[in-house]
Amino acid sequence: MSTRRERRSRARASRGAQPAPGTRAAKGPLYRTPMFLGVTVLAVALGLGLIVLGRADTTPAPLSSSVPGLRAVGNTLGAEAAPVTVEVWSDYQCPYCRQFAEGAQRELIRNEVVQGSVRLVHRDFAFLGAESELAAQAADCAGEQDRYFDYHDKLFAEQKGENRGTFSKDALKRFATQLGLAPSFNACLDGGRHVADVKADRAAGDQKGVVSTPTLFVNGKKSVGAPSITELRRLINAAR
Amino acid sequence: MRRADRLALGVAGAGGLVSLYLTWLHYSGTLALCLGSNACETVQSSRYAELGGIPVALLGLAFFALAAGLLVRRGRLRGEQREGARLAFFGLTLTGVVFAGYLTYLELFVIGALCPWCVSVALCVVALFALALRDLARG
Repeated sequence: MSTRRERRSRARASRGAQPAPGTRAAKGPLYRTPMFLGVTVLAVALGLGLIVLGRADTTPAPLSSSVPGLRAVGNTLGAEAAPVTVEVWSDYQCPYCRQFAEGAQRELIRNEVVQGSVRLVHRDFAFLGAESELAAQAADCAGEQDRYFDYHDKLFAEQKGENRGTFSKDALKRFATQLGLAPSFNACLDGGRHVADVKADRAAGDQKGVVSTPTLFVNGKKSVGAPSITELRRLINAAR
Repeated sequence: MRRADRLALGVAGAGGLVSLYLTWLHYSGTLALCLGSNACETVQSSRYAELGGIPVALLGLAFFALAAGLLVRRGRLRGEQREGARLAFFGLTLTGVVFAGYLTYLELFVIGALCPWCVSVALCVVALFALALRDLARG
């Protein structure tokens, strides 16, 4: 068995020798072949294709209130006489709340809530900092114009990290403009009209034993975490 | 197998393990262990965590499995077949670098959270690409 030093010395010696015809050494480096160019173009195109596919896949979904036949009153969606009430305790800066809002909850709205079998109530458990409280107040301000759930969807769609300016007052006003809300929204937010409501909701949540978000109460029965639509339907059926 | 190939295989293995962990997290809905920050949770639950319904972590796992497969296979090939495998490895890692670069951009500027697990996967992809370049530069 040869040592590494011997192998290196043999390799050094062989570098001086003429390469055998037909070998890669004789044909030139691989990166100078047309095949290399073809592979490079194909690989970059494939990478860009994945990016385009990813972008198309992330187009924002339509707003909750754009579903025909929905009745929204303040923070409540659906028929008052619905046999099941799903109460969602949520924080607009919590990623799992967003996952739930954009997944199972949306599915629930489009089916059971529209059909009148479930009433959805959103409650604020704003515990992740100042911007959670501001966002919750802003949603209440949108609720004054019967656009609570549109604003709720917008907040989750814009969610980026925690307390880093995403839900600053200026940003929240911008969202309102984008949603076409009346200018009274700004006065509502600046005047802190719902500061007490958001704090009261938090206190009510504490009293009900909410310690994390999302927490659901399906006809009063507590469920912690973000359930899938299948799990949520199981909870609803059990509550009927 | 050459030393550089063994190194590449190790990198692919490490990247594959992290991708496997992230894929498991995705399907289990469990919180990622993220050492005191919730960046993993934010990235994991963002709308960019899936592509056409497939978890990005699963794509990563497939990438590292394919890279490892190519490395093992090319060690057994000779002549033009081996050159084809070397180019395929380069092409695969180049696609990986383009896509991982985009994902890192999303983390930094769109999602606003940098998940250490995702960064480590991206570094593995870049390392494999560097090793593929080094291999081609050798002739």
